Amino acid sequence: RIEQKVYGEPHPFLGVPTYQPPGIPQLQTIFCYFTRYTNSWKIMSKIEFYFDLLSEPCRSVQMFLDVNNIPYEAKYVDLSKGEHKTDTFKEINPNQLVPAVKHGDLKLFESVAILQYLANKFSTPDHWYPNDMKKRARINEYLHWHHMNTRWKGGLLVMLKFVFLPVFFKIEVSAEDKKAAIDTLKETLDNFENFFLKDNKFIAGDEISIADLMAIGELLAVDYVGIYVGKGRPKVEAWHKRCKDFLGSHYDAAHKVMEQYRATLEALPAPDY
Amino acid sequence: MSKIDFYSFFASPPCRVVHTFLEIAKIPYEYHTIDLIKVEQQSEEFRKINPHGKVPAIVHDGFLLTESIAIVQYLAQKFKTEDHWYPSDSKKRAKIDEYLCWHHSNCRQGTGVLFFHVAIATNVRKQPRNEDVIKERKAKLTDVLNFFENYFLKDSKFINSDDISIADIAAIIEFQQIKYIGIDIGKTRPNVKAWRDRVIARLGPTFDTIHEPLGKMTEPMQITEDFE
Repeated sequence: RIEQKVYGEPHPFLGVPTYQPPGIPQLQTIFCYFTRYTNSWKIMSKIEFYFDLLSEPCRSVQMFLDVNNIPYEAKYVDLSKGEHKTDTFKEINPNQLVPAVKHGDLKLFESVAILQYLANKFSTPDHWYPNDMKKRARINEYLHWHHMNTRWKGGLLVMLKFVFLPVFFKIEVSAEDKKAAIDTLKETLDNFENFFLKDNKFIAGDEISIADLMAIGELLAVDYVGIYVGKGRPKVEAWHKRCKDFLGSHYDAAHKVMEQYRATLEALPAPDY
Repeated sequence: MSKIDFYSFFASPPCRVVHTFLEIAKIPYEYHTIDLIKVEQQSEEFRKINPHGKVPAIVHDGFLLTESIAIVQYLAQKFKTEDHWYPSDSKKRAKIDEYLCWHHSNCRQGTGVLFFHVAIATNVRKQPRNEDVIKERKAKLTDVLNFFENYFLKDSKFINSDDISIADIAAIIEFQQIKYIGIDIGKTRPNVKAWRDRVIARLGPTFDTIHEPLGKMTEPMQITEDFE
């Protein structure tokens, strides 16, 4: 299950050839690059990315890694087989959830914290997580609102009530509960549009940021049960299209596992939306 | 740099987080009470300042910001507070951010919601005690405190760090409110107990002052909840 990415050709992000020392196993997780900043060679460990693409926050992190060409070792953690509950994985993330990353001696969980770290550490283009304090504050404002709103009163809530509980855990969910989840999603979308997206192209303004990646992960999850959050909401629809165009093939790659389940999920009783 | 206009109410834990940081970091501010009991956050006057109608909120040189965690992150950077509050080193900062994200759907869910059901719903709004929710929230609190004991405080004096940060402020504010319903978080957990005492000592008299109104409100209720 371990996919190892080997770099020998010029690195598109760093612009210099990267070197993979052959035949020395313990060095195969690092790459060397020449940085013009200090006119020296630097050695950096590769990111180990622990994920399952069934998880919305994993999709957000993978899109960020891919669109920025950040080298990583993909470590698939099969949630359906309970691999996140193993002692091996507990060593990486005691919280026993995905996504998680290991970078040298740093172990990190929480997708938002991971995105913030990657943006800082790999000096990605400024718009992802700007250095300007006010712009950054605007993104942090969204990122912290996201947890208990876009996720727990939005995408994840609907997926829980319509898919995870009834289908995976075989726990019945009443019609009232399901309707309540839809109503809560609608309220969250109202707040998302009125207080965050407003008339902007993206959440933070004219350019895409990590805030949009987190929102896309949650809000487009419900598409797979037949709820399109852009329905009746032209601003949200336009924002979604803009994000999709920017992310290109990386958007599709992150959603490829969910696409495989689309037919199965859409065969479930359709939500009233 | 002009001072912060800070819109707040004593009964809201996220407001107390921002208030504590403004005080401890000696950031100049003006406190504007938005009485949540009188639903002043929905008033036309407040909506003109903050259309989202929520507290805490700050306005700084015309810049409006909500979300307590985003506010303290902004203040730490803007006012160049001591590095330990929100370290500039990327790895140290990442570990603080890890806590600040986990906080929302974990710590807060075992403390604020429990406090609300025991103190506010039952004692202030005079609703029947919802035993199922209270039991569920106590189970969540147990998980939260176990994770603190065995992970966040396992090898460090403060959350994921050897020095106090905004993560500790966010956490201590949530845990302090359940003290007023008779729950001692350090009762069976030595790491948690030591951390709690360390943080409160470090925050000093500011911490007590900020909690005075909450103490006054809950003292007559004389609540002692069962919890290990």
